[in-house]
Amino acid sequence: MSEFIPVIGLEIHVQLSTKSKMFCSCSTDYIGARPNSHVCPICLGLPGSLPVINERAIMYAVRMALAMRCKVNTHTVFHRKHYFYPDLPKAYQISQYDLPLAVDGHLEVNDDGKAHKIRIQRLHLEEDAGKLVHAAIGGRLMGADYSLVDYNRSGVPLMEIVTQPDITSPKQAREFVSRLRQLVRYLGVSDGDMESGSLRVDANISIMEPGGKWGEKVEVKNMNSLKALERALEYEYERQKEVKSKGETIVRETRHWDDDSGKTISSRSKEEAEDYRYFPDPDLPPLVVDERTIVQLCKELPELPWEVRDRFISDYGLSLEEAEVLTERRDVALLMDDLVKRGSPVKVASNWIRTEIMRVLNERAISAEELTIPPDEMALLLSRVDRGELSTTAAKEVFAMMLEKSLNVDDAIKALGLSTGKLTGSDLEAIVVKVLAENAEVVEEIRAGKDKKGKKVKFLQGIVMRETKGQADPKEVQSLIMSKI
Amino acid sequence: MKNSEFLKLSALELVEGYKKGDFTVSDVIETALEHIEVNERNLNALITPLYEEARSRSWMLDAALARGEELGSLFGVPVVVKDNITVDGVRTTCGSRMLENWISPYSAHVVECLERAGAVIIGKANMDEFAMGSSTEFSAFGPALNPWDLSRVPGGSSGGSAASVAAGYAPIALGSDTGGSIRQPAAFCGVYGLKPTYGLVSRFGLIAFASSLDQIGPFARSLKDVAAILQVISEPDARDATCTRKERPNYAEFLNVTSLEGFKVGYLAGYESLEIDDEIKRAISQTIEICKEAGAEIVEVDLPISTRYGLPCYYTIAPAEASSNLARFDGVQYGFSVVADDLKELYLKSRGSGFGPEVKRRILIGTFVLGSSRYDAYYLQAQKVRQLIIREFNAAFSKADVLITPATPTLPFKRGEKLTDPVKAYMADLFTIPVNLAGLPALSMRASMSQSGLPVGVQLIGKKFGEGDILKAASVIEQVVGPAATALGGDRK
Amino acid sequence: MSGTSDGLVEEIRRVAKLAMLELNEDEMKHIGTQFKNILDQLQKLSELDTKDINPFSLEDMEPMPWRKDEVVAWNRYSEVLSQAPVSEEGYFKVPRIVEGDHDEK
Ligand SMILES: [Zn+2]
Repeated sequence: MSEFIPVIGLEIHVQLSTKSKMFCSCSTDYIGARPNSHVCPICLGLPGSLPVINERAIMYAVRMALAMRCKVNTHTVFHRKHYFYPDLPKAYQISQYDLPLAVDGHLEVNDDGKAHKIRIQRLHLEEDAGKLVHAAIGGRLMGADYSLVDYNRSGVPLMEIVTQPDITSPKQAREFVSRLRQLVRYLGVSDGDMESGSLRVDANISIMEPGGKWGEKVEVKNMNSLKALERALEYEYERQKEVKSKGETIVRETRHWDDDSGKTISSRSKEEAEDYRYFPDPDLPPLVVDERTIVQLCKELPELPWEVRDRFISDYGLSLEEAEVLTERRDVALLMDDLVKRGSPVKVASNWIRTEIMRVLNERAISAEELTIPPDEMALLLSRVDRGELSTTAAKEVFAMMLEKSLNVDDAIKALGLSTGKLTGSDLEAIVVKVLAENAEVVEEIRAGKDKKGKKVKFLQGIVMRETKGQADPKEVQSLIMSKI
Repeated sequence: MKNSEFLKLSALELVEGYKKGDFTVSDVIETALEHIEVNERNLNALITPLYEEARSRSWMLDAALARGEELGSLFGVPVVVKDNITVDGVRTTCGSRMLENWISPYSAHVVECLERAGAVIIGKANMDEFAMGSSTEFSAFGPALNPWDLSRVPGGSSGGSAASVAAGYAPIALGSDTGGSIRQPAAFCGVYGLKPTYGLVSRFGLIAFASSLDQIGPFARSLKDVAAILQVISEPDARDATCTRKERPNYAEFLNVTSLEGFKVGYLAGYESLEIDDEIKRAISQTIEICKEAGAEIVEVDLPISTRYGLPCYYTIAPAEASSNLARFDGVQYGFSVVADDLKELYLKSRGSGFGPEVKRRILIGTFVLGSSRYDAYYLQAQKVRQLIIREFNAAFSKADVLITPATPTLPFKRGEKLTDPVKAYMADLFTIPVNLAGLPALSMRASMSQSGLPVGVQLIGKKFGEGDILKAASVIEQVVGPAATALGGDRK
Repeated sequence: MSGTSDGLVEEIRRVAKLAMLELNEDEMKHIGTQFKNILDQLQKLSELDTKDINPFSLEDMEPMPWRKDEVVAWNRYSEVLSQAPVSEEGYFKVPRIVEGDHDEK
């Protein structure tokens, strides 16, 4: 059945991390707040209230549009989209329709090492709806006797991004969303958290027949993680192929992903498409974002993740894989640059960030800026590792000590009982002599010329280094061994 | 001065009186409240009289007066506010069962302005439900009556505000005008009624009927009062995105003119042959004559598209916006709500029983014209025609500074007369509607009294933000015909 | 608009459903005749040639003002909740939602 190719388009809603809501001054910081406490006449849609747009929401959306190389429309219009539902206090949502803020951009994804361009159809601004709590087991709608409404989320700014149906596999869809999430975080326009609903993805999927004929598209909703997105699309792809293979037709419908059962479930399909009665909101004059503002925002764009990645490869000589990991998060990429600037050798910095530092950041769920070790001290530590003054093992202990006790490198080394100076001269010579004596057979073999690849010398060198707790210069150790043999 | 004389004083005369110590705020407010209590049995101009609130505020203001504090421009002036404008802590019904018990938790911008200026809100005025109507007969709280003739309507939808000012409840009142809802009742009640330029007065706190047409404006019995209250309520407001950031002129400065030298007054070509009341035609020609006497150049203007297509254009756009603005009344958060088994039933029944017939009719029309398959033919076409109407007015204002037209085609009609045929009832707004479509300012004022003792109104239309031009021309006319009179019990026929 | 009154009644029913307005039989009959008259009036607009007109001309329109992203808390929310037809534990309460009424957001 592999001749059926999935055709996927995504519709992504991103909550913008503004302080106040889209059209009123209520706080957007509603998580954990008591219900209906972050509200006002405007976001409650009380009679007589009027919307006034949040400047930062516009700036954030334009920033995102520019990063995706969209064309930003200087004159755009807000429309009202009407439907009755308790989470929508005015019974219409202020959104954009035929004149969105931005159109025609793209975002590149990496699919098995190959770059793949996904076109962005449009990007627009709208307001979020309130939240419903259903009074049934598991908070489901089905079977609930009643529902409760909380308007704290009502009016939080949302940016909707719609792709062209350019995505050709569930894995690629996942890769795209992960790229997009990385971008919103780089730009600082959203926390991009899928679990808490800051980033919501709906997918349209159809399958293309061998002849190039497109099937009916199915909308899949309710995926709360990247993994759920990929699983839902895989399930849906298989389901549609199966329907086709039975000679049945695919119904155009909306299906909900159920993470527990691992299935998509059909929502009762409607007899006719909903009529949203869009028309320009007469409360809001046209939005004008002039060329100067756009140029300014373009200049202020930070270095984008793929730009940093490419620079790391070309300037630091890192591999693609290394560069990808280091640029996954902007704070981490900035740390890399910072450490190198402060004298850390690139290789050591890259290795340490990707292992020790990332582990700590993830364990503590903190950003690199929140790391208690000042960058100067971190750079000093890494330089010592590079110069062989500290073994990796010792350095890890020092790192842990610095982290725990907020010590600088020297104090941490002291606290660990490691001597601060290098082990050299006669002290070192004594250790080398001792090690050679303990490994007389190996010494004999080397003397007999059985160490063409130098492996045995390395072996001895390793033992000496361990004995010295990494405080000797490996090169000095090597030359000492050679001179003794 | 006899206390009943207070009822005939203008707002500015009251402020003068307080300053001179002729009487106190509580003297005036008490007199007004007693007068209201007696007359409301007949007039029904108010949905909610604010006896207690007005009383305690009058004591507060008297105390301020005694302390010698600086007084606001409307200090101690009783004001009636149409019941679609929110006042914090006071119920705001919009003349509808839907909001019968809704207490607004915030005040409209204009109310805040009035209160800062020292005014005393003495009642919330009766109106056609959600401002849809021309007679105040579509109020869920019973019809208001015309103080000049109780068998007739006061006009609408701001009928209660107009009747209040004519009946001496207060020297000034606020109304709202979407298609003539200030100017038509002002004409029917023989008082001044100004619809400002769209965007001059903040709509924050005005319960929307048609957002692109709605504008709050004043009623008064003298032009000086019109200018004074306009000055107060036109304070810029960042909470209404459609409210202009332009600087406001000093409106009182336009009033003390005696000459219209170098001023051009336009009139509607062929108005004599239109289907309007003869006494209104006579009032128009008399008014034009007054302007001419004062030195104005009189020019003829043509508004064929506005006259012929204004009504259908308005009755497409206004219901469309209304259907959207009134969608929020769904029985979930506030207002009329039924007990229902499921959500859909809650919506259908709450809205089905909470709204009256005229509101339902317009919501249905509006929903129809916004439907995805009808949008282009109806709503979009109406918006294009609206542009033609704007162009037509622009052309007219290249020839004239103000236009004089009828305010209404007829004198106040009898109660019940226009209730059955909506299309006929809509004709009452023929001359006022194009003004809203073009976003222009217009004043309706009494030009004379009919033989039957009813006020005869005319309308003065200005260019965008041309309130000053209107006041200038009106001032010359007022000097001849006199300010508006009160129809107190004794004056009534 | 189809000329037949059956079609008209059908149309009014559809529109009433969309607008969430319950109409009784009396209202249906009454509004039916008026609806036709009103729509006939509105159709007059098609007589005008408007093909070159921009319906939302921006001419002499002030652009949308922007608000600074600043939080101002509104502390009157409990007054709103106290006016709710039905509420529970700080939430507004609505009866059972039959699936398909609208897609979950
Ligand atoms: Zn709010």
